[in-house]
Amino acid sequence: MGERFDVIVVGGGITGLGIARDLSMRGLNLLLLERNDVASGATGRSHGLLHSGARYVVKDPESAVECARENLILRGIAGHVIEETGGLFIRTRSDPVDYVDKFEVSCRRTGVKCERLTKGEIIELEPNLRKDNLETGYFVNDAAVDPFKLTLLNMFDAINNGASILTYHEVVDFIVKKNQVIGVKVLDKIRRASKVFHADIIVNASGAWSGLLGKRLGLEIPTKPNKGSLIVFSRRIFNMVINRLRPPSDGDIFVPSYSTTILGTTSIEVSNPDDFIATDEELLTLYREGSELYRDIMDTRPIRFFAGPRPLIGGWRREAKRTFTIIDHEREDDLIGLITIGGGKLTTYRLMAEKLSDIVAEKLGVSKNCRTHKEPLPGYYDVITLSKFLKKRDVPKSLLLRSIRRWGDLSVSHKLYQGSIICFCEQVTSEEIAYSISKAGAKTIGDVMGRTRASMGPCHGQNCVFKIAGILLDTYSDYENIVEEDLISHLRRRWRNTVTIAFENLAAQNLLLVSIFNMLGNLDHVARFLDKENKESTSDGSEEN
Amino acid sequence: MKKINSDVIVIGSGAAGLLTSIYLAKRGKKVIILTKGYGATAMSSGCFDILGFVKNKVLESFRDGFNELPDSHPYLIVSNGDISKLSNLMNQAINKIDDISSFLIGNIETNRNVITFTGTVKTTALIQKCMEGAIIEHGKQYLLLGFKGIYDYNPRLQARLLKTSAKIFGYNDIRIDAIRINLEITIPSIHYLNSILKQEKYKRLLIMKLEKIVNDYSPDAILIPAIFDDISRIKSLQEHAPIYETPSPPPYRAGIRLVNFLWRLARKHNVSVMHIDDLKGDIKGKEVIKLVAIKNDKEIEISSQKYILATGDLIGGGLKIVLNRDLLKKELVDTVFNLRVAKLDKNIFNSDLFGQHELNKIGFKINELMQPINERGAPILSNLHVVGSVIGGYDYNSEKSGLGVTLATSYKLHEELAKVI
Repeated sequence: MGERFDVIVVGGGITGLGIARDLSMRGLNLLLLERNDVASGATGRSHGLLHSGARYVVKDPESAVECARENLILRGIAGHVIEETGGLFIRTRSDPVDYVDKFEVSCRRTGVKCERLTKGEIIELEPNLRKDNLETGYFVNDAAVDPFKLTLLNMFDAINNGASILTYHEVVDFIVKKNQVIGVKVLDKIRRASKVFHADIIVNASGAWSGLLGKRLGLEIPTKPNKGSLIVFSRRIFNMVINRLRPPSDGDIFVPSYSTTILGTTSIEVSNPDDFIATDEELLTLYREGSELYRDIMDTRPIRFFAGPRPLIGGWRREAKRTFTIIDHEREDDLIGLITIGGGKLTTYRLMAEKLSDIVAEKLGVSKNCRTHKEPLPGYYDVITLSKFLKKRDVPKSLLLRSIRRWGDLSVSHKLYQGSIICFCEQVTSEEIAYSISKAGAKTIGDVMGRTRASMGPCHGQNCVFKIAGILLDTYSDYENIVEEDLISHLRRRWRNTVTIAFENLAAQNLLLVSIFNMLGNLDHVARFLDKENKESTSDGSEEN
Repeated sequence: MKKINSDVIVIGSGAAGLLTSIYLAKRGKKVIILTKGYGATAMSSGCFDILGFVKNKVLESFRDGFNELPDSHPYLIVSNGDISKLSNLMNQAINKIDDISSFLIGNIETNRNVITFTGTVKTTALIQKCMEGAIIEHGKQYLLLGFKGIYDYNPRLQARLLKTSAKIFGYNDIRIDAIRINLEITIPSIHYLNSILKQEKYKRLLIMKLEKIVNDYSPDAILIPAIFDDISRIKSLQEHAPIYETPSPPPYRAGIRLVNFLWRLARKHNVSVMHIDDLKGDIKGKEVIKLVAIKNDKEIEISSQKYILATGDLIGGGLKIVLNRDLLKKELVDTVFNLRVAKLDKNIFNSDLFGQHELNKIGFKINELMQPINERGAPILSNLHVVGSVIGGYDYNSEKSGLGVTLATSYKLHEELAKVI
């Protein structure tokens, strides 16, 4: 008999953790299970756009209204992980003229704010835009949000409210009694142990993986795994979110993110959500479309190119509604105790969590209402207190400001700006890395990267992965079990995101990386040795990811 | 416009450019090196790899793998496929480097397996003198030394990887200890130890701690990463304890030390050096007419009998990848003359970081005079020669043969040029 909870949430993306926060704030005893790290699926691979809603006004007004409302709420509770960039919708010469009027009318109808700008005003705001190709444009309330940090802050708050979050715990099976799901069988992937947990209600918040999870119970959940690919450039090309003024399609958006700019996205149906590889053809599409807005795109250094899944339910590619769906399997399939949530997007995660939590609360007879829109997330600061602190302290301002940008007030209260610099590209200190391990649940180099941005810069971790692995080894006792596998697989994963875009500077950087790790370190032999060992050990049935 | 003339112009100041210049200068030739700064040698481990592996098989000497090398390999071209010729060539190349024994130990014939700063084991031939104790040997006891509060380098992580590497290379009987000592100082990075330990107070503290370690553990070797700017610094510590450095990548200092050693020799033999901002080659027909260098926004014309391209590959900056309009079609060209070296297939890199990468092998095809040649085997330019990693036909990463090929091609080229200039 395993441990009992009121609710078990399967899936540690932004949706799952939004639910964990909401329900734990309502006093429920909750467990969240995630097979990798939090935000390691669709959430962490998104471009981090906080939608104003304008993108959907014409095609999907319902989503547009949801976005516009949630956009304002998130600025209120998570302003410290949002960069208020503002956004532009730009009509280039190749975009349809008739969309302009539709856009303006739909904005007015849905209440999404937009403001028409002259050509001169636009160029003044974003001088890097192609003047020769620019026709007209609108200002909207888009912003950039750190999807990883948003997920993490929801996790912090859920834990503060008593929730248990277990990462690297994969649900391998459900426990069913008559027509009721009463628990899950779980594999602890780091300690390589099996566990069982029971709960009254199990929430399937595994997004693009919902269908696969449903199959274990013989359920047909209509997920349509769909991948989108993104290029990250090594600098800020634009300071605002730049959209194309046309129906949503490939390569139509630039999103600034920290010191980088992200160009996205494509949309391709895939059969397996784990099978997302960014292809050469997608790269060409993105470059071709991107060059309509930014002429020097070929001379700008890319850092990585990767694909992520969209958690679409019931729809088909871009025709799919971007609102969300909740499936109560008691009603649909006569299976008590299981609810699936899917669809939606980063901007509306809180609303999704609220609606789902309302259903769960009702089923469990809990009368408390949602408070997630009222209470700010951990690390929230007001600018006045912070600016006083900034004046007072004698610390390297660049480190402090960067770490505040990443952690909000948590940076000040935990002194994350102190210690020695581990990642030079992103200016991450040893204190911040130790904090991300001991307090924020990082268990691998990749986890540390997501939390701190260490090793995300142009050198691809050449200088810092060994330092991070060393800190993990000193701080987290179970790391002993996985240290070599983690090092090798982290380097491999990061590498894969660079192979397709390896031209000019990045090709030289890549060759240096190969030389340092293979030639200098003979790490290739260690990798081959581990591959061989793994093959031998996986032949007796344990699962490999 | 300013004009300069010389017997030989060497472009590039990595190991290839410096060695070729030194050899030629020692024969009384007037040599000018044109350089934009440090070459990629500064980013190396500072050891001379000759040939460590063939088809992932570890070799005890380059001789064991020679017969399995492809025909395109520079080793076969410089020696005409004759192993004793290659051996002679490389032995002479090493012996002609003055005072080499003060800096390097080992010989080109015997490979050694050396513990690196990550705890992996590197197969190489000649290593810097201060790394002698890092050679892995049966039954020995190694103590990996770290410093409290310094995160660049973690001896526990190194020990962990060393245990695995020892298994791979068949040294299961070594003993490994990992400890950290406290130097009672806060520094942001291990590299500051280089200057901190110039202060008598800290040096004495370190020596005291080292002596205690020797007392407590009696290790055969105490290993630290390559942090000192000069190998004599570690020599002075060795009077107190068997402390050695390990081959380490940048920003550690082993590669920079090698470059500095070669720079000193080049100066000693009156090689002229010109630091430039940019350089373009001027070609007419099948000949290099002149070079035009740009320095402080002024153009300088440079001409000579022979031009030597020692600019390295992508890392050194001698080659670059250019894109056609269609992004997927790439070309590799050299950065001085804009000569097309190769058309690149889509997959220049393996999708596995630890696999073999096509790009490693790509570079100029050469003849026995070290001239770049075209598909038909004819020299592209009559008075242009190439040395070092700008040459293709070998995979220095999987073979571990980088500085070996540089050594062989540099020496071979100087022999050929000495006949004609």
